[in-house]
Amino acid sequence: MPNLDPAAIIAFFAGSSPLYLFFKLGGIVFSLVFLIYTVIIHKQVQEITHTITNSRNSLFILISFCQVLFVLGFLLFAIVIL
Amino acid sequence: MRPMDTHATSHHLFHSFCIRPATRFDTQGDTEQVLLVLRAHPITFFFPVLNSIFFFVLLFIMNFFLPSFLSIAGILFLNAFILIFIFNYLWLHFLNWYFNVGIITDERIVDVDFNAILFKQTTYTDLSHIEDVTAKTGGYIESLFDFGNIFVQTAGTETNTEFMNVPHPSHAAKIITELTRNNNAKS
Repeated sequence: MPNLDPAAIIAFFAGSSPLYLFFKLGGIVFSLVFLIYTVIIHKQVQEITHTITNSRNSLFILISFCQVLFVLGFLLFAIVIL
Repeated sequence: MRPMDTHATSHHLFHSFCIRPATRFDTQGDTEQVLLVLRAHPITFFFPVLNSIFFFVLLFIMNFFLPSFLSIAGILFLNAFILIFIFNYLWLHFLNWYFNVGIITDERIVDVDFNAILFKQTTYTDLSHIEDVTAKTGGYIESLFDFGNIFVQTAGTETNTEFMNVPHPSHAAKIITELTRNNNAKS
């Protein structure tokens, strides 16, 4: 198991101020919670479209899936770039 | 001639009052026909849209002050995050509206309720069990846009069915009453 170097962790959050660190951590946590939420919504939309069927159902599933991808992008953005 | 036989397929008020739509539901019988699908009147979207505009304007104003605190990446992230949050808020309201439906078939009435998308409740009422149909409209907005509630009372201890904020409640109640009368005459 590689040693967890505290300096490396600090370097990862290489911001100059506590506000920056707070913002980055907040971004990661909110993106993660939002990602779980959008996955649940996507599952529920799939469930709903089984209950009521019409020609637009695939569009609804696609939009909810795009939302999951967007939020996944936010999470990566918050971890890597922010 | 059965009631609704003379009605062609039509969709009114952004699919909130659909006659003979191409909609099916999971427990629909092979010979069962969907005659009417009711959703809440589109005017019920007014407050969610107003809230979204408010948050959008707030975000716009915030952008004048953010450069003092955050980097370009931070501003970009915050803007995109809040925008998708606003979109998600509207999307959830839309899904709630679209899938909270009252379905009237030639055999029964189906009330599908999805609360916050996470909780589902479906009520089925046979036309033969319907005792009374009441259409209620009250208030300035309801009268102006012609929408209201329909209460379908059933016999015995069965759950009563309610369709809330549906357009043309009197017309819908008339259709349900005609179908019930026709069904009772047949049996």
